[in-house]
Amino acid sequence: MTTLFKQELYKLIKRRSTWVCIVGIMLIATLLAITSKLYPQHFIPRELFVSNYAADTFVALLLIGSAASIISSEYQYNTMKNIVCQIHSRPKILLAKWLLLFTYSMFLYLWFSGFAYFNKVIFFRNDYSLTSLLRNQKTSLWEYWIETIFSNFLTTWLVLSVVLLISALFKKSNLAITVGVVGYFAITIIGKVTAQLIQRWHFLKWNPINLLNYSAQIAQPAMQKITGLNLDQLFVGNLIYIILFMIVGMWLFSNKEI
Amino acid sequence: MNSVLSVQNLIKNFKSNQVLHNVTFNCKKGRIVGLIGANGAGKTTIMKSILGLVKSRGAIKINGETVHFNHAGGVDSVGALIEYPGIYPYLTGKEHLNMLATNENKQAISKLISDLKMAGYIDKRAKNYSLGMRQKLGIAMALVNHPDLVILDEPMNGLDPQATYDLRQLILSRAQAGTTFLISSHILSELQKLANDVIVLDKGRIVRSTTMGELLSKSLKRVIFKTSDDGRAKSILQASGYHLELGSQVKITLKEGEGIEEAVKQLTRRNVLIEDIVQENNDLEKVVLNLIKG
Ligand SMILES: Nc1ncnc2c1ncn2[C@@H]1O[C@H](COP(=O)(O)OP(=O)(O)OP(=O)(O)O)[C@@H](O)[C@H]1O
Ligand SMILES: [Mg+2]
Repeated sequence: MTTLFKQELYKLIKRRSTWVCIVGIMLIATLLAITSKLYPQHFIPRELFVSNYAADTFVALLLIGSAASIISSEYQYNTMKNIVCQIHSRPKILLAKWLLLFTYSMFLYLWFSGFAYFNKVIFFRNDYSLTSLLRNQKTSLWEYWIETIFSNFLTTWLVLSVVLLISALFKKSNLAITVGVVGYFAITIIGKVTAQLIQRWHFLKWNPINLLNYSAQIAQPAMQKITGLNLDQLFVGNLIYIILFMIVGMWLFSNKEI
Repeated sequence: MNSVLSVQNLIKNFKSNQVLHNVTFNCKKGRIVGLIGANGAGKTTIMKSILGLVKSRGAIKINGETVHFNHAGGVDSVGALIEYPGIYPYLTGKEHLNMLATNENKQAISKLISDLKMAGYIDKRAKNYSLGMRQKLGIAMALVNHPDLVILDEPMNGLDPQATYDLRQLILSRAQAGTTFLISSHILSELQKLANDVIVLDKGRIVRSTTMGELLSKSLKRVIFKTSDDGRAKSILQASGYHLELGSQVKITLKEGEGIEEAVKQLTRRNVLIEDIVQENNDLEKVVLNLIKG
């Protein structure tokens, strides 16, 4: 297990694309920080800061790509055989990959949150403070920031668990990536439709796409009318679906011939 | 028992298509076992079953420990190269070996690299490796942890004569040191130089499982004479009780233990000038072709 995890980490670190993506996202975040400094009316500095200067979205897409390729690239390079010969336990192999992805996602969210804070200090030192209260006069900016990061992290993992499940099924990565990206933006694409369906059939509020509204509802508590769920329910729902999809993925992968 | 690998009644179906029929064999410690069979005979499938890559029925034991689909006790004692080498394009050859090698085998990596003459490119990214370079790296990866059992599927695939020679020396020296090899190859002349034991497979069934020496000695020797008068030579030899083969050449088959001296004597005594004698050696290829045809 430890050996496998170390090997996964080694492969991730040795991949040039890992570093290119991280530097790329840092550039975008910095650009957005500067833009919101120059045009604060159009790019509201506080909202952009809370989203880690859009890094959260790009990190989610990067993670979707990584999750899809972490299994399928082994088929593409014909290396899955080496790994199975080495360890002889598909559950352990998948577990090592999950752990790596989890570590990677933790690192990315922490790194870009830190980077957002760095950008805030550089460009907005005197514009607003983290302890200032939001419009509702109850939560402070930093609480809102932390909650948003956390909910983004959780909903991203909901999407990742589906991506991992699909990539355990198919040897090619394109379907997993497509489903992941579409799934990530599903709320924007078919949010209205699901909202209407939920109005009609109440139990549909527990569908996984609705649960992706978690972050949106933290930003706008009024969303509860549409989602039909409170924040705690959204949290638990996300967690249960993640575990469910992971278990199914594990079962599928454990029975796979190579 | 000193069987490193034991395969008992191995059965494998792909859907309704039965590919392996009760395959049973053993590989003893330090032996090089050649697995021979036509395309689609099931060589790769046997190897995949042994490695737990596919689901199969029957009992497979490595070092006495049963191999299951998702669990195997003696796994750290197996190295394998199945079909094509699995290589990450973004890692160098050295990085592949470093990643796989356990701590006690890290020292021996440079020896392996020089044994297989890979020093020239081992620090370059594997993305641009040629077919033979990839193959050598795949073999090195199978050998790097000095496993007890090494399974190689078509290891000479894409190797030049020098590399084939180097690989043969490496395999022989490892076998000398006690490593067991299971090797499949279509290059029978190469296998003939290498293998101690032979398993011949036909349509998923073992048709012969014996030592190389025995397999070859049972086969017939053929001798072709080129003479001043082929017509007379034929009738002389036939009269002396030799079995003549059809065709224009003077070609006889020798029985076990029979030499050519007597035939030469008969011909020279009758003043037939012998210009050349070509002895068709015991040839694994012919033996195998006969076995599979039959
Ligand atoms: N994944 C698979 N699905 C269905 N049938 C398969 C699969 N893999 C192999 N087969 C079938 O199993 C049989 C044996 O295949 P195998 O690859 O073991 O042959 P082989 O002896 O290695 O041949 P070759 O010399 O060409 O490498 C073939 O008839 C092949 O069609
Ligand atoms: Mg094959």
